[in-house]
Amino acid sequence: MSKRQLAMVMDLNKCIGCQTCTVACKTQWTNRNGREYMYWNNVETHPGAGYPRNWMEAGGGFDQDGNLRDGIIPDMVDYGIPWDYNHDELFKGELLHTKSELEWGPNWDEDVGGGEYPNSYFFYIPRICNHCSNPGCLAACPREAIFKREQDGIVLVDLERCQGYRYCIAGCPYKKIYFNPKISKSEKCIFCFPRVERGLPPACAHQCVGRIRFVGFLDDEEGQVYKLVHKYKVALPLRPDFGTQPNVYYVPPLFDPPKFDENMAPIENSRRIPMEYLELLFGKEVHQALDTLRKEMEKRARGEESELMDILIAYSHRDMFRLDNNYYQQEAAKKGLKGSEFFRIVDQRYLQGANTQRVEIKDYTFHEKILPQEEKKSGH
Amino acid sequence: MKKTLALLALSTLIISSNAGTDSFNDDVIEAKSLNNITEESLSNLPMKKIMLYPQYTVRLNDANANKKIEEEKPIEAEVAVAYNPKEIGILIKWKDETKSVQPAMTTTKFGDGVSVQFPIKYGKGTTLSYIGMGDTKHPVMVYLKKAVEGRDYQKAFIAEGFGSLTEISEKGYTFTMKYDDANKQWIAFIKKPLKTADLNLASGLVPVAFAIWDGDSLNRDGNKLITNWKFIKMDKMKVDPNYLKYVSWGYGDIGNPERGKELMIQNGCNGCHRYADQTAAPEGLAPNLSKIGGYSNPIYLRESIVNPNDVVIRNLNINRHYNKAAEKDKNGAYPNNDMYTWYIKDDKGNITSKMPPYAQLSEQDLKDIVAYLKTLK
Repeated sequence: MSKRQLAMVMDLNKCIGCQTCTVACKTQWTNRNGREYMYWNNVETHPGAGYPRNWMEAGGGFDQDGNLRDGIIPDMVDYGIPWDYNHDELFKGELLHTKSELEWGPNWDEDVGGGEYPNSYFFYIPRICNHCSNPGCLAACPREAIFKREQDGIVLVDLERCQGYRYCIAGCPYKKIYFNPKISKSEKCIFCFPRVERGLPPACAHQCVGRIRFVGFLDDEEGQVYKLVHKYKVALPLRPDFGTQPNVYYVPPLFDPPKFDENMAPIENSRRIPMEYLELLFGKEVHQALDTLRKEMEKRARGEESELMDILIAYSHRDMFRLDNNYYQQEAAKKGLKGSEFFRIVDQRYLQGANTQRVEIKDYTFHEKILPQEEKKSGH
Repeated sequence: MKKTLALLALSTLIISSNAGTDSFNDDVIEAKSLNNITEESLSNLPMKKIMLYPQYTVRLNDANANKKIEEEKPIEAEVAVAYNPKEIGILIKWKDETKSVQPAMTTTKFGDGVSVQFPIKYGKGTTLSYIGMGDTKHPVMVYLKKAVEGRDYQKAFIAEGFGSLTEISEKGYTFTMKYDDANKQWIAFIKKPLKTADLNLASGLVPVAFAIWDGDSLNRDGNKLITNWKFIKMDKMKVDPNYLKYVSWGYGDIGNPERGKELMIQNGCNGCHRYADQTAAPEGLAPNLSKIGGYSNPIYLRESIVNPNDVVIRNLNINRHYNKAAEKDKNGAYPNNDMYTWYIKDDKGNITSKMPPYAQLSEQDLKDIVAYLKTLK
């Protein structure tokens, strides 16, 4: 659908669940104007209900034959209703409490995980919009308000066309597109495209203290994203069975303490995280990915070279975030943007609307290509 | 022979008694010429009863809303229309036990709403447009009002079929919507210029259609209740007799629905369309006809059989179906599955319907098929 595809790889072995990415995203994009309840980036504990609650059972995506599946729209409780505290009353001697009953919220089941003591286990999965190659949200929109950028495959909502019908939310199997009730339109992770176009990675990736996130183009063979996804095949999409071809990839958790036997002695070569669960999340490929990781780690332990291990150590941001190589500057030049004009956004359709020219619509191409390139002639 | 005829007549009687015999007058709304067009002045006019049926032609992907559609019943509304050389006013009332206003902080609630639709081109020599927001050759204007907390949600659109609805600004029109608690009904009133750059309503017979959204049934967008084309008859303006003859075709008992049903199977309609007990066709391959009689005029049904290219309908977002048998592109994306596109586009951009014209059908065959389609609602 797009000429190139930006992608992100997250190494789950290094995620410590600190939520710095969540906060980086929230302060940048979602702390205002009806987005207060949204977490375009969240970190959830697995096994767990996730965010929004039970999103994996909420439908959407495509069936085996490639047809869009029905889905549901989570309610505010499943997302978590933002709450306030009675701070004013503290001065009158009241105890601190929330102003509303709390039922559920993002990260409500943090670190609960699965398994019975002493063999309990959990790991974290940070999630953003997957900017899928076959997006469920885009397919579900009866207004054709969602589009995928030709330059980099970022999936955006044309806010001029969006009428707040919310079929996109039902259609996204990851529930990573949200309804903004204040403006009655859908909004979602924009892969920080205004940053990306200037050569900066998305805020979540840049701020990550564990340096677990790699960002780059899937066809850039020199890039670490390409190497992790295509060369070593250790980075896998989440729930590939949903059929949308996600472009966020995960290095599955390799480190996993052994189980204890009845005498509290560790059982050699045992794993607490059931392989079935990892298969559910990452598909059958997870076996081969874990094998590769293990072998490369052993190689390194023997003192041999391992490019894969060097990549995963994440030495330098410059290599982890290979966004540009002047790519966006070239795109800007193609649009006739010169000098400081480069700092205008390369693709204006998110700001101006992708398909919102005053009709009559004489051309069907926008219906088929999704990605019209005409200049917007007049506002309305 | 006589026996067969009697049997056929009997079965016709059963089907038509189930559907009720339609008459063109049911679809005509008499408009009065009034100097002062206000909600109050229209309230004093006699009101016309109209029926709205759940849209069933295309199926959307909200699982909860889809459950509700199966339970949704047709609803009755009342309308009155008045006009003068400058303006037109339409008053719409409908019962709704549950007032739904889209609240400020929820994701799953929807507001009640109403819309009025006019074809941009109509009159002598112009065929009726597709009821679902127009079609390629027949753009429509849609005026929409929704009950949304804290906001005056009022919009005007031009559309040429599903997905093409595009907001425009039209000056000088008002659209209000009030809930009458005592009678548990909504009262909506639209007043707009009789002529704008996009739409000229100064004519003796103006097609108009209505849609109502019930927030409680998770209605929004295509999940709604709609009428067929109604016709506003302006009392002091001239009605073109040819146009009148054209749009009034096919009302009353025009044929044998039982035979029409058989003809549809003989002609393979059920190969692509789903309707009544015919559910072999894949979902979404072609418009679902299960409730087509509720929101289609007889002449429209006839024309879409004889000349489907006159009303090429855009199907819903074609990205809903991917072709898993095809090769993925370099980013892992499957191409769309063309099987589910309702039209074919040639190199020059001309669009033809995938449905072939059934012009070879005899006049009686057509009448029988239309008679059957009218019973589906």
